[in-house]
Amino acid sequence: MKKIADFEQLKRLVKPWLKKGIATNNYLLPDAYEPILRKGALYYAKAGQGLLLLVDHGNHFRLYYYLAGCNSRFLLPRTKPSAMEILFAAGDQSIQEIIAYWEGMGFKAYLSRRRMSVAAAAFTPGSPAGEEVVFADRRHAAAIHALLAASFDPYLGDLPTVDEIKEGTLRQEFICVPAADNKVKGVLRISRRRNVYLILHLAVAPQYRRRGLAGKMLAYFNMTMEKKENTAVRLWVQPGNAAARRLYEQAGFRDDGWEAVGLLYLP
Amino acid sequence: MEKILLAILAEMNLAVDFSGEKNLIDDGILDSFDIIALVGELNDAFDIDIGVEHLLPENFNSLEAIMNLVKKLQAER
Repeated sequence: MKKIADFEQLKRLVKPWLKKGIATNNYLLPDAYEPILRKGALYYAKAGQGLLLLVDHGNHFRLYYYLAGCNSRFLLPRTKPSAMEILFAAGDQSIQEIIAYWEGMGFKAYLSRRRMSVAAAAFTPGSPAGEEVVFADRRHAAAIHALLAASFDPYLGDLPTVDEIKEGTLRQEFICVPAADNKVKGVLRISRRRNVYLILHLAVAPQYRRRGLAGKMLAYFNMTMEKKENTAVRLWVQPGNAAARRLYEQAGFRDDGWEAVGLLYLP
Repeated sequence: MEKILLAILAEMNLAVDFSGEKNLIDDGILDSFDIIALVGELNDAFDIDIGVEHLLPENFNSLEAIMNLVKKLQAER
């Protein structure tokens, strides 16, 4: 495993793999690499028919692969867990060969998710009335971090750091139901890429559940989002999370044909 | 080139009238999954080298933008 120094080196490494017939789980666009390279957290490993990009997330490595076949043997990091997520169109049986390959390398499938989408015009989460819902500010960052860490997977949960939450509040990416002493009862995290909003996290602290807070945060988001003719909202949800799926379906979301499986390697 | 490109997009099974679309990325019709899949097809079909640095939404926002990228890379060959 070797460190990637800069974007020029990354370009040279990836170039041979951007061709037809290569299997990959790397859908990162160029702007996603900038903060990773700035932190010196991007590495690579090569094997006969494959290239691995590894992003050091502190408690684990996130892996992105390019494979020309399922015969290569990579040397995986021994110092901490490695995790990856493989996205595929629902019903695509060819993905089973890739999953079996990584299972042969010691990975275990441990998380699955489905993507749901809704056009802004059909997004009907109701009203936030009856509860104080606001855009979070930096004072809420520590509480939001704690709630997300307690609610989502430590490896594939895409958990932001406290500093990233502080930066995100400046871009109004966090909606919360505030509690006393800068605590939060619930939080909704959003990102936006042009006309598509992505709901990254939605969590309510256990003692505040069954009060409709998740729906009220969605409603606040609906009231404040910028809507254009083709604006859409997307999210990923675990198929077994019936309560979350029901909430999203009531708000207008439907499965849109994309699924993901998370794989974890514990050295 | 346009015919080949339209055939590639049609083969990707995306139910969109690409010839009339100007905001394939902005409107969420193509996302990064589609861009990566499309890049492999384009590199193969037109014998070009689309690299990581070209994976910008503005290069894939319309049929015209994709064709311009292909032409530019063919000229650089």
